[in-house]
Amino acid sequence: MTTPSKLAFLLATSCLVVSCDRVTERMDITETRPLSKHAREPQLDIPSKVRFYDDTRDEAGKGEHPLVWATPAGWTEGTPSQMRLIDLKFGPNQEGECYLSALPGPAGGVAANLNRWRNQLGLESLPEADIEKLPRKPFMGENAYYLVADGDYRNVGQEEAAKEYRLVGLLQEAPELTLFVKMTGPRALVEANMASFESFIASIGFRNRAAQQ
Amino acid sequence: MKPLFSFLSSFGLATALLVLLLIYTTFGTLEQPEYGLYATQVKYFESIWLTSIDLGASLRALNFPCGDLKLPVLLPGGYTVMALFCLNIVLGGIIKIRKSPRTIGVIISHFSMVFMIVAGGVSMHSKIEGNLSVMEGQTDDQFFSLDLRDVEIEQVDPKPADGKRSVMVIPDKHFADLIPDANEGRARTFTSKDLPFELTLSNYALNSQVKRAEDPASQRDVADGYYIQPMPPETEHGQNMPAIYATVKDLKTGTESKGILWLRAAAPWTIKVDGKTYTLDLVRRSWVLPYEVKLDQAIREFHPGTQRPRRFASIVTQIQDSREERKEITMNEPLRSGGYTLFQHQMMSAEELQRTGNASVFQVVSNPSDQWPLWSCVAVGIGLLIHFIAMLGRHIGRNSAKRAASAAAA
Repeated sequence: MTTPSKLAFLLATSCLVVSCDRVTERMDITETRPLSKHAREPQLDIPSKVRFYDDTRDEAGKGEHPLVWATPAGWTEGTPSQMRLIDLKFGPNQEGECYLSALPGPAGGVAANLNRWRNQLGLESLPEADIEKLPRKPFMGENAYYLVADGDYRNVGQEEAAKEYRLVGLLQEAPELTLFVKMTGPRALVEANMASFESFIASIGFRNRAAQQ
Repeated sequence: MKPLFSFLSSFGLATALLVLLLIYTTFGTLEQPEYGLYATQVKYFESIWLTSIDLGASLRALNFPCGDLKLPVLLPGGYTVMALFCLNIVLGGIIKIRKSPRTIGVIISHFSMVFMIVAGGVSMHSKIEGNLSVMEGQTDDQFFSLDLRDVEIEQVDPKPADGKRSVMVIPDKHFADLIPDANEGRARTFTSKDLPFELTLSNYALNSQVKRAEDPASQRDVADGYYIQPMPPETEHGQNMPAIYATVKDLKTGTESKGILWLRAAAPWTIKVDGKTYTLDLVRRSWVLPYEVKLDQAIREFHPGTQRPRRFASIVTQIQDSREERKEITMNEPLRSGGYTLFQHQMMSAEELQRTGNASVFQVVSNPSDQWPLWSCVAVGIGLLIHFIAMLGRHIGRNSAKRAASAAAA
């Protein structure tokens, strides 16, 4: 075999070998990888229902939702999601909304979150000292920060602000979780639904504790 | 062997391969709107064989209304074509070509073309690419692939003695072909001497939802009351949510348990075998940078009155071995360090995230042949310049000789 021919044969064979990666019906696991120290700690023994976001409910009503609550008369209930554990709407055109969400840990802190709500109404942020002076309201056995503010409301993703809105918010810090209840809508509508809001927040509790009581 | 050499180094083969590349580029471009960039790239340019061309999708891309029309073919795939073309240039354009001062420019150009094809091959086999997402004030060093997925097995109890976590990895190229057909499922078993169980992965779905089986007694493949519902693939491959069934068989007792691994699952599947606890998960492939990146500030500037970005920039601190260096990454000025390049990719506001700080997403690329195409283009340019100058010189020389001969005759 001449040298160029040998070279041609070698190169052609190399190309074929490089492009092959044999996959068989039984294989050894050969690859391991160190995890970063920033890798999330795995959550263990999570049931399939939670792993797969199964929010189907049994006939009893609330199924295995971690919370129990009473939806005020005239309000409608949406499907819970990761961001909104309880999602309610009210008003003639369902323009008022009230939802509960939970974020892990301090979620950025009380002042930052309450100021984020104020900023959504076009209001200036308050210094931390003023945040601490905000009233508190009993909520799930603790005292939660209570904010009522009026302004032109622009929620996430909205191009234009809705005029003359009111936001009523509760924020409760817990060591592992921060809970938020946020009600928004046209000011008059929110004012008219304050009694419903009070009854709603008074009705919220953890399912496990409710079962024990 | 001489006929083989003649064939592999021939102009005819080069022409045929270039025509194939033209066809693949044309149909790849036309199919891309329906199949997405990743799928088209894999089908036309990373394949050994090409088995079909979707004429329907191509005609629809040209605004001709057309139903399903797939043309079955058996042609060498883009990878094979490029490998053969590289071989053809080496044999015909470097080895076989007459070596003389006259052809030096052409040889340089051919050599550079080979270098460029090799750069493409190195990039395909060695390039890693993913996204690193960091919130303001946070530090991270992991980046995640948009396209590649792994099944990861981690022993979580007892924890490793040195405290350093690690996972066993099954890459998607070892299970992505386990898509069941209408009549039967497909499965593959994975073992390791470090595991007290064997793992069988079966019936993969590229894009899926996991649903509760209302009637677990049905013939459907069910694990813990749930089943995988395959969905049509997304155009953007990275948006697909694959899932696969996993069956763990205890090697001591022979007992089996079955679960579903789903990319979108809220948590991994936990199993206990031989007194040890493991998690199994289907995840985006991840890599760890040799340094940490802390996002100090994410800067978002828009053109007035619009959502059109004018400037996205990230002020970061690069932390390596307790040495800290403050750097700025902008859309046109990536951070190059440690063999990795971090490009400013996306910016997410606190409002969008419902959090208190902005977040920045960096595209992280590690490619050993990153600069090779540039060097290759420069070399091709030099080669062609030498060739054209030599040709021009010969042309001028011939004309001068002709004029001198004409003057002498007159």
